[in-house]
Amino acid sequence: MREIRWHGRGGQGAKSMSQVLAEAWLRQGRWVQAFPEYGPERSGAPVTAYTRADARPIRIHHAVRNPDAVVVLDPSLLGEVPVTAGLRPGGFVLVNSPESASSLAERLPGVRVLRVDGSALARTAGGNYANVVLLGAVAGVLGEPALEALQQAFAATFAKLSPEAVAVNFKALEAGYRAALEEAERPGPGAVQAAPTPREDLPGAVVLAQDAPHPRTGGWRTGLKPAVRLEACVNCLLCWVYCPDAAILTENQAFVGFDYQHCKGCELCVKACPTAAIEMVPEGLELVGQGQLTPRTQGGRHA
Amino acid sequence: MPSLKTLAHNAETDVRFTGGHSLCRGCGAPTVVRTVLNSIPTPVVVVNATGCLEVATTRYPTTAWGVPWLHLAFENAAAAASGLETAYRALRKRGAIPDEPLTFVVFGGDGGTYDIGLQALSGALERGHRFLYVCYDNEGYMNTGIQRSGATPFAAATTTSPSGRRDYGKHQTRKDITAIAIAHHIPYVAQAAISHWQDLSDKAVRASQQQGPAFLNVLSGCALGWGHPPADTIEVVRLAVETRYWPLYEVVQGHYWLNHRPERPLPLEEWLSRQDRFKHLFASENREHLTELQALVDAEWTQVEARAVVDAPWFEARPEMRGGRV
Repeated sequence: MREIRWHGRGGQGAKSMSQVLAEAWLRQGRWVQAFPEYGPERSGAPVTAYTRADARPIRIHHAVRNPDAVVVLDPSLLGEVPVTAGLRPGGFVLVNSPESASSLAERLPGVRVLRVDGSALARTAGGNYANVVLLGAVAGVLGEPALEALQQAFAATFAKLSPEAVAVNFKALEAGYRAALEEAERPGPGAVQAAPTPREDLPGAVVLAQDAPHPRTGGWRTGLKPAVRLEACVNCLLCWVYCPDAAILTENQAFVGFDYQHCKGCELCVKACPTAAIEMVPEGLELVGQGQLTPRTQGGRHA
Repeated sequence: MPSLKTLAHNAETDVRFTGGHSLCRGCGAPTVVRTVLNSIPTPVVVVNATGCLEVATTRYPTTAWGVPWLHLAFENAAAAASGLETAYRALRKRGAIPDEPLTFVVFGGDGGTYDIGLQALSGALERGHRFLYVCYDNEGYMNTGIQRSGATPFAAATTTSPSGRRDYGKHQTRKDITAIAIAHHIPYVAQAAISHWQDLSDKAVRASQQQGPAFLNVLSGCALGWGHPPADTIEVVRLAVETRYWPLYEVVQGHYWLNHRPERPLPLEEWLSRQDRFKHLFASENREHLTELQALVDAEWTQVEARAVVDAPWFEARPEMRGGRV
């Protein structure tokens, strides 16, 4: 049996690709399963999906615990979700990232890491969706299902797409398939991973806010984060009242900065600020304190 | 009335609702919850009907709530709050628990309030339990994928009232749940919006001070369901108020007080045009439905305003009974 686990964020199409993969295998005479697992799915929230295929009927109906392959559609999930959990010996983690495979491998020690720059390949093919490239790539590394089966399954699943859009996605699938073949030829360390211990559930347990881990929703941001020119802040606290994620930090009722672990980057604070003290800046921009721009980093309209 | 500094102080000293939940980017619901809870001076017990808010703030094993919190189904949040409040009163009377003020607050979405929980809500309001029911109204079943609800406005497109070549969105008019609450002759009913935090905060305080049931209908927002960028949530809700679509008013012991009278009301199109769910109304073949929607909005405004004019002397004699103007 082949078992694949998909990690993505709501809206990135992990669920759809898990289904197309199963559909392709089905076309090659396999018995298949594909299903997602998520809580309250929100655009940007971590989502997991699974694909199974076997030559015989599949009798199990639970989440994939020991995958042969893990596909990570969004590299920001690496620090947030245990993507390597339960990976089978000989299995691999395929990451969509512009980062080099060796630097990714440092972040995922002990497992075979393959990378494909799915976003770039999708753009080259004329599309926007890295998930399609990664679908091609995972099949490429596994050696099945065949590219043609994937393309047929894709066209059947997305029957409403225009012929032009289908052509773009066929190209993206093929680009991923070929890129993965090259990538897979590179020697890498084999995986030795212990199966995860099942979580101990406590029926009826009281969960206290101060004890419960707060999911780090900062990973929902898409490349931009808020920053402040503190000298322009008049401390009206309108950003504070309108922040859905309680990510505006105050001390003694005064604005002091941002909680980037929870800020989802919605920009409501930017809109609420009457003095334009808050602006969105690239994620990597160096800030001081809890999100202050320095005179050096004050680019753009404040320069 | 609380200032933002007071609310921030309250939130710093007693964390009632945190981040880390999985509500959407730019969601309006947390603003309803944080503003209401940070405004109420007493300890609170929260009863939460099923909906986006409940589902996304309590992913096992985590919670965004720093208060005693009870999850109920869609249909029975108000019934459970009745039971809690009654048990609390009985235990207090018996001396089994300290005689301290406590506020019971229910949060339900429009699905759990207008539609599925209406019977339980009506019963609780009629029996006169001392609790505050807050409806965070985003005008649809957003949690399950944007289906129409009793709160969805006329001609809005949802997945179950789609617009297209043959249709113009929802055929029915929005249910006036605020009027239904008023018809229960309870001490306090109000309509508020997240764009006007001070008004919402004042109303939460006033509602929590009542000796019987209080009902707050708060226009929240939904970037996904209404179809606008997450950054625009507050602005779009503000436009709902400024176009008179969503009148801010309160009804104290049956008397109407209008909290906001836009000096120069904006045409309804200013609000509609910001949302994909109304996009189809700007096509020439749907113009009549836009006109119809404007007429519905005008009629509701006129009715509320007329009542407020009639009741003005009542409030003039009792200035302490009414909220401010915003």
